[in-house]
Formats: sequence, C-alpha cells, structure tokens
Amino acid sequence: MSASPNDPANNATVELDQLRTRLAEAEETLRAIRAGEVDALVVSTSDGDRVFTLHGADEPYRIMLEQMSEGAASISADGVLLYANRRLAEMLALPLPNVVGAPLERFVAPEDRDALAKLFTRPQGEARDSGEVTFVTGDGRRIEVRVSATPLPETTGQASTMVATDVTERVRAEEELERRVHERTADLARANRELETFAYSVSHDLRAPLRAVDGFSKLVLDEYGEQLDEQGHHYLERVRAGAVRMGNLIDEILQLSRLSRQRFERTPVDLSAVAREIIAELNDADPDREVVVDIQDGLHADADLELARLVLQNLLGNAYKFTSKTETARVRFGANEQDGVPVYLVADNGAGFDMAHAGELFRPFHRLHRDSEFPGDGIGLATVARAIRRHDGAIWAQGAVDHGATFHFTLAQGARPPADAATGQDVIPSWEATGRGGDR
Amino acid sequence: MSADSPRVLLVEDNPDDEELTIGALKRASLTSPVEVARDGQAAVDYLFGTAQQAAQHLPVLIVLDLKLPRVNGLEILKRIRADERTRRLPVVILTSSTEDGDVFNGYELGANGYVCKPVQFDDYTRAVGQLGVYWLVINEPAPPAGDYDIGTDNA
Repeated sequence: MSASPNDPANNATVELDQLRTRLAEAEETLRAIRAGEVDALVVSTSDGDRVFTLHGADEPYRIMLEQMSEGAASISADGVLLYANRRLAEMLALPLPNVVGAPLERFVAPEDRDALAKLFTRPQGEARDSGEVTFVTGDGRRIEVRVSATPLPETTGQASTMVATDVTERVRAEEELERRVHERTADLARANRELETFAYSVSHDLRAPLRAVDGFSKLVLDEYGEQLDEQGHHYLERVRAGAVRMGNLIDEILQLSRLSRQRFERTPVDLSAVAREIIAELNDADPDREVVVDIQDGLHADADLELARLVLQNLLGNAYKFTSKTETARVRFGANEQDGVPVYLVADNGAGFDMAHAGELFRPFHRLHRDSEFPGDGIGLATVARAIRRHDGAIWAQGAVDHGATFHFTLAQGARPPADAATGQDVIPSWEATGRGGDR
Repeated sequence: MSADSPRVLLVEDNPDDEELTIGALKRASLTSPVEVARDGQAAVDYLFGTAQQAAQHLPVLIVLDLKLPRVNGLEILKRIRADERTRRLPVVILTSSTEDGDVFNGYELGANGYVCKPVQFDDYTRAVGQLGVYWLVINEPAPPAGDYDIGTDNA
C-alpha cells in the first residue's frame, strides 16, 4: 500500500516535522536572547514589521546608553534604526517609538543623505568614521549633528552603531564668526579703497597748484627777467626746483598707490633677461659709468612681469647709484636656494648702509643718505617692498657702510629672512591700510 | 575774418591752467581764438545750447579736462560723440589724471588724444604747443557732412 498525498497519516507526519523545526528555531531564539546575543526582534505582523527591544544580560549597558547626553543607536544593514536611546529621540523631537524601526535616512536633510550613506558603508573591522550631517527634527528644525559610525561584526545581526552629538550651536557660532570675518574683510577692503582714492585725488589736486608755481615763476623769469638781479633769478629758480621736486614726489606716491590697485598676474618671467634689459638702459642713461655687472643666467620665476621689472629696476638702479663713488663698481644679480625656494639677490660694493638704521630702509620717504651724496626721494624701496608683498614674497637687506649692500628677495611664499636682516615685511606705512589690492 | 578763424574750445575749470594753456598756444605762434568753458555745463551749453547758432560757432578742436564741476569731461565727450553735428570734431583730453581707467575710458568714448598735464612749465608749454600745432595746422579736419560713399560696399 503506497502512501498517497491525501493520506491523513502522512499529512500528520509532515506537519509534526514542521512543528519540530519551528520549535527548534524558537528554542534557539530563546537561547540567543538569554545569552544576550539579540538586541531586538523584528516580528512580521499584519501591520508590517514591528521591532521589539529586549531586556537582557546587557541591561547595564542599556542604562548607560539611556543616560548619555549624546544620541546613540544601532542600525541594520539596510539603514533601519533597530535601537535608539531617548536622547536621540529628544534631539529629533519625536516620540521614541517613531524613531525605532524607521530608516535613519528619513531624519536627515536630503542634501546630506549621500554623506550619511558614506559614513555607514565602511567595511567592518575598519575604524569608525565620523562627519557632520544636517538632521531635520520632527518639528521641522534643522540641527547640525556630528555622527560617529562604527561598523559591527556580522554575527551581531546589525550593521553598525551610531553616536550622534548635537553641534548646532558650535556650527552656528562658526558661521557667525565666518560672517564677521567676512564683514571685517569687506570693511578693510573698503577703507583701503577709500584711502587709495584719497591718495589719488590728493595727488592730482596737489599737481595743479604746482603747475601754477612753476609756470608763473617761469613766466616772471621770461617776461620780467631783465628787471631782476642775479639774486632774484636765483630765488625764482629755487622756487621752480622745489616745484619739480614735489612734482616727482607726487608721481611716486601715485605710483605707490597704483601698485596695490593694479591687476596682478603671474606668468613665467625670465628674470635674467629682464635684468639685462635694465642694465642696458642704465648704461645708456650714463654711458660714462664703468660698472662690472654679473647677471646669473637662467633665472626664471612665476611672477607679475610689470612688478618684477619694477623690483629689478629699483634694486639695480640703486646698485648703480650707490656705487657711483666706488672705484671699481660691481653689481651682481643672482639667486640661491633656501628652504626649497629661490632667493634672488642684488648686490653691490658701493656706499652700503649702517645696519643700525636698516629698519628705515623700506619706509617711504626715509633716506639713509644725504641728497647731495646720492640723490633720491626715498620711495624706491617702499615701492619694491610693496611689489614683493603682492607676490607673497619677502625682502631683506644686509649691508655695511662703504662695504656695499645686498638685497635678498623671494617672489613666493617660503624662505624667510635671517633674524638679523632688515626686512621690508613689517614696515607698513601708517597711511596704508593692511591687506592687498583687488587680487584677492 | 574772426568768424572764419578756426576756434579752439578749452574746457578747463582751473584759472591757472587756463592761463598756462592759452599762453602755451600763443608761444607756439598759434593765433586761433580760444573759447573757454569753465565747467562742464558751460561746455555743453556752448556746443549744444540754444545760444549755439548752428555750425559757424563749432570749434575745430576741443581741449578737454576730465575733472570738472557739474558735468564731468567723459560725460561731455559722450555727448559730443552722440551728436551728429559734433561727432567728428577732434577732442584731445588734457588732464592731470594718469589713471589707466581714465585713459581707457577716454579712448573708449572716442577721444582723439590723451595728454597728461606735465608739472614743469617747459614740458607743459611744449606738450600743449605741439598738440596745438598738430590739430590746428597739420591735421586735416572733416568737411561738412555730405553724401559720401564710405567705400566698403562690395558692389
């Protein structure tokens, strides 16, 4: 007699087997719960999955978690909150049952969901990862939360744990600080612009009366010269010389003020070639001078061509000027490497300067020599210092009276001057606001 | 005779510069009468005002300062270039400003030249004299408007 599918005895045997299997499963679940291996149960009901958390051997840890001032949760592989402490529910301004069982993603601002997912996709065994994420609370507020995610071993049935710290206040404070810095920077830039405009306008307004001083003195000389004695001519020439001198000063101030406003653009510059051009110009201007010039070949820099030329013009021009009373005048342009950046130098064996007064060197209108010795208006090195500053570089000088001067400079951040050198960095003329021009 | 003599319109608010400029033109042996507009509005009135009796009063050269009370120099230049009667007149800017922005905008608005006022009298006299000689003697001014083919047609 063979068994038929409809045999009641056979059916009962199959059912019994199934019941045994389910009983075994239930016993295993109970054992796991007793052993503390289970934090929560997901039970399928007609209303969908429900999550039950358990009291077990790990209760002291649960109590600790509940007392934490930070939010804590464990999360399943598909991102569902299996457990959440009360603090997390408070942070989210939601009743705890609304938090547990929900996908974590639901509480995160849409734009931060990718960032959140990244935090939770680290392979297990790796160190925890943390980041700041914007959460949206049950009552619609946005809060900034620092989330630390730790991957868990697979055997726990959970993917990761999360500790969440509300850092909204810190983030707001940072934003406020940033806003204030922004505001101050804008204030400073505005003040700077106003000062530049002032310098510009004053310079122009000063020029007109100067033209009158020089022009009408000259007209007196031309048209009434015969009625003046020699002394009268002399006085009027002194008046004119003063006007010319002041005119040059105004031009220099204008150039100085323009320097921080004009466009700044770095391109590859062949400094050796620029230096050779300038030397040729200096020789043309004074063909009787004999100067031994040594220009190192192949010096290149990423620099603003116009400003780099201005720097070399001033430094080489000074070197020529201050060697005018030296028997065998020598002028050198070269470079050394320091801290990985080239440090350029312009050196001469001329009149030099006393290091005791070196601090004045880069200050506008400060001179270390009498005009009758070496003519000048004291603005050249101030101009150089400003051009260097726009390159984020540094300039410093070393010298000794009658033993020449050496000016070192860089055209990028990096090398710093030696402690005993006179620098052009800390000397900001009082009428000049700090900060650079419009290139920032 | 004087109605036919080519006039120069000097737009200048500084009386010192006015005197120096007129003196410099004289020193260059230029005898053209110089009309002076002492602010921007006066220049506009002179060129476009109701007092303006058609073309016979139009200058052959306008020497224009930029920093002027009421209407500034660049604004005057804009209006000169926008008006059919004055748009071909040579305008030379003579100013203290060496600002790139002013030079650029001067040319952008159609100036024929840009001269920075030198501080030294000798340089000033030379500059103004030379610009006077160039525009009043050497340069050929535009004839009155007529039906001239500009000659760029392909026909």
